[in-house]
Amino acid sequence: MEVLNYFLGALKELCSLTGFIYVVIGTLAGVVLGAIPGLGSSTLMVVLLPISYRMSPTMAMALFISITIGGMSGGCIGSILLGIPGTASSLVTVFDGYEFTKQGHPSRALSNAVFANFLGNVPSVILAIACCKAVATWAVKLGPWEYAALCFCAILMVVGLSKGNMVKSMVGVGLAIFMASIGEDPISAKGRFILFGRMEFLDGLNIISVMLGLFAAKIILLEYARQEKTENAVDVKVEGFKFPAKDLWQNKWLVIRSWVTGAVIGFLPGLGGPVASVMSYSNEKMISKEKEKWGHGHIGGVLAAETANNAAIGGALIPLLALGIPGDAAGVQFIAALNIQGIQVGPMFMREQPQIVYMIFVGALLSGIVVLLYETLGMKTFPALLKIPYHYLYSAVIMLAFIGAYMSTNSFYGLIVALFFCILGVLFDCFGVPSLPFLMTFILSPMLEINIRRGMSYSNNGLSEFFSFARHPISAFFIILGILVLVIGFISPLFKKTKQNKTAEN
Amino acid sequence: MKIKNKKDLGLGAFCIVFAALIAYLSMQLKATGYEGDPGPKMFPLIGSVIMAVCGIALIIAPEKEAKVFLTKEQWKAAFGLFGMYVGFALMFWLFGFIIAVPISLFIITFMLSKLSVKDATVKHRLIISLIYGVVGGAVLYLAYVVGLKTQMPTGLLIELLKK
Repeated sequence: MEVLNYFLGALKELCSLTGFIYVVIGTLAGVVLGAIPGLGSSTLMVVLLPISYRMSPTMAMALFISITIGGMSGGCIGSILLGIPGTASSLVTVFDGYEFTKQGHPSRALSNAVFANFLGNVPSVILAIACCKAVATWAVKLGPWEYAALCFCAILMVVGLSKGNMVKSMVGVGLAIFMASIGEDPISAKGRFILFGRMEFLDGLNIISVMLGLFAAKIILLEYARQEKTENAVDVKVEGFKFPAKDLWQNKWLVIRSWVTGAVIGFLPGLGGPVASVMSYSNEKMISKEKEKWGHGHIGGVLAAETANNAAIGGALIPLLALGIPGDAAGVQFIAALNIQGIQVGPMFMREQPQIVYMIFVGALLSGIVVLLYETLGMKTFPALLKIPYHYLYSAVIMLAFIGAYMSTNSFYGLIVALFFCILGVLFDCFGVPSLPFLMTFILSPMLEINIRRGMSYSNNGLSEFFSFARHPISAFFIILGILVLVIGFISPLFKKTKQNKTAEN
Repeated sequence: MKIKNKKDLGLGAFCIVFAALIAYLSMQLKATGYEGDPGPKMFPLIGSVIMAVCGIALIIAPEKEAKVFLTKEQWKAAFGLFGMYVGFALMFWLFGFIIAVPISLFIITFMLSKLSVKDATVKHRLIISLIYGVVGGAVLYLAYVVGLKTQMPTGLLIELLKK
């Protein structure tokens, strides 16, 4: 009954004129930014972070979830019409989706992708609604040992499961631990690493400025440097939406399997939509009876990728809302947006802020419906989305980013931090250090540190208390799981290499 | 014999030096005195150990091939736009929101339009960017200062001139 009340309360708020405008504008802006290759909806979210403190926390969350849902859906438009993925999550949609455009049938691929988005996203949010309460009830019973172990495990999973050089990912982790340590010590409130004696550093490195530099400013800088943004010739004529009943019926099991893959992968930290779509595509191709047609315009390729990446959204909401552990960059942005409002995300979040949690759920469901309506009714406008002049959009994003960085601290300190992280982001890319492990560690570090120190203070056994299966089995389990994932992630490429060498020798 | 990846060697060396620096700075931090609390130095020390181990690993076993990240021309372009970022920050500080935003918007739009409207003449790009800078600046002023009632900098030099 209580759940229903919160659900109806959120629905009522979103059905008001303001709420409705937030969801519709957020969703449509997400679709547009998601469709345009390179920028992505996460940039929009980062840019909006500093302004979000003027909104009510519930409305800010409704806006952010709408942008996330819109962005994930919009990604397929660039993939299918241009052959360039709008977001990393729609990378594999290019393989078959663009083939349909080349063959003169973009509407078939788009119609299937649009419906797959809906089938992936809405049920996964319903799954999150069903699971979050149970996970949160369990999470409330956790002590500092278990919570520190969860954070530790999440960081190691991001390092172990995400692609890229693991040693370099760990460099990002080490650096993030140091950078998150700048500012007040969480126990004694004394200053730590107050660089150049400047009191601004007492507040630490502002997460908004960090993300504005690392995402918005860096992305545009590198796109400009590489001169990748040229006028894309979108001369494709797109007919209206046609309900793909036959395609869906023929691929019903593929859609179900892809949904499960997406939801499970979304739940794991650091993977999200990009890995979900790749894994689902590869699995379905492997078991398909028409393997040779995949990559040459097989509708299963579009359905598998788009169902899985959207299903990952709901999966990622479970650890985020029930435990306060973000699964991907979007999750980090949600936590940052809540921190701006003075709300700490953790195991008590669902109990203390149920109205925000249910607003995210209801916002996600409504946004899923808005996306479906726009993408079915407005499919003919898709080519126009890809013709938006980049120079207007990008210059506005840069201005919004820097003004936002200033606003985040109400001083030039925020702006300088954003500029520094823009340079750091470029250096990360240059040296092949992935940004996600850095960002995840940076956001989880305060929680990790305070829980490690509390755990050590509450017992006389030091760090060994965290490994004690007798007293803290959950803590020991998560620490071992994290280490195991890290070790497997480190060893498996070595095995692959040996196998490849043997194959080459034969 | 393949030449070792210089980038990784450089990153490895940086990690070791930086880890030593963090460790040194961490050791200067005083304990809290609370029973059982390892103190403020423990967490950054963990970071420094991770970086040192990774640094050694990168030096011992660097990746074999280093991909070209940006060409010389691309680096020049990147520095150009970053210079504009810094220019905006300086203008924002010295001349305030009203002057810095439209001017920076104009310059950045003009720089970026080179990529998206290749066929247009320089004059055409200049006019479009100028209009966008002025209109965009006004919209941002209305949104942030009038709408959101945000306190934006009026500019150090402007303040001095007023006095």
